[in-house]
Amino acid sequence: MVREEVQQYLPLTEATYYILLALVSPLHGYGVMQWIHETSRGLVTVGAGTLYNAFSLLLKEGLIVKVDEDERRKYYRLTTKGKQVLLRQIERLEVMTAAGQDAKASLAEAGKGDTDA
Amino acid sequence: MHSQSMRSFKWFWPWQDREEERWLRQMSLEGWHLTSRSWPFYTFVRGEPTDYVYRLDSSTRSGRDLEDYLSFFKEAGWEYLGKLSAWHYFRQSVVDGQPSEIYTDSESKVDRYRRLLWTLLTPSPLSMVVTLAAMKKFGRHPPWLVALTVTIFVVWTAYSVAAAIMIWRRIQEAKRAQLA
Repeated sequence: MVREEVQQYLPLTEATYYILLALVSPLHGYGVMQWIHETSRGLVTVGAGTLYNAFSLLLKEGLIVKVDEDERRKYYRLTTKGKQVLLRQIERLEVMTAAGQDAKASLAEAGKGDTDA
Repeated sequence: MHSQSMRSFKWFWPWQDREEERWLRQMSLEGWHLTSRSWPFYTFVRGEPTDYVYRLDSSTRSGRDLEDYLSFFKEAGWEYLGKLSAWHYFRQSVVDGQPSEIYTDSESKVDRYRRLLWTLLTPSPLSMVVTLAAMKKFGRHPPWLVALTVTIFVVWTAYSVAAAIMIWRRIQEAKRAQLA
């Protein structure tokens, strides 16, 4: 896959990032909502409308695909393209976290007894 | 036994969706549950007081896409009441005091209002052109008919401008909550 083709989707929004994570293995829409809530330790909630629109877009862009369907539910999973986008996003987040850790250490150091004044 | 129902007059503009949602929740807490709306009247049926949260959405889908969208919401625990105005009406029971949202990031909140704006404004220019063309084709008209048509157009235009301004404000509010 051409690098630029992956690059155009980055950075992902928080909701989209979690949706792609949830679809590493096949899952239905409501399952994605529950999975995100649990995995993010309740920090991220994705509503039905937000999720539905995200699904429509991800399907159109070929980042996810419908893999199965029964009378009640449709199951989706990442495509190869979706996996590459997700991997690049994880790498970006690793850089962000590393930078954050450095800052956290010096903030704790400088924070002793200082004020905003 | 016949279930008791009530018709209630209440005026909400399409952009007063948050106010309307709050009012409908309050009515359900008092035991009156929405069944239908024909503007500006709401019909409620009497039942057990229940903490229902109501959500209004502005989907422009139709046919199979609409079915797909509705079954997705159903699966997520939303009861569909119908497209009762410019909005689609959904409700669900509130669990542990936390009413659910259907849109949870500012991007999709903005899109929701953009679709509403589109729904409200699309019919106006088209029908004005059609009416004017029809009037021109059939020649002379009594003055009262011309006056009536002009009045309708003026009111409609004023409404469209007001709707555009109010919904634009709602969009700005939704954007303000966005840092990413």
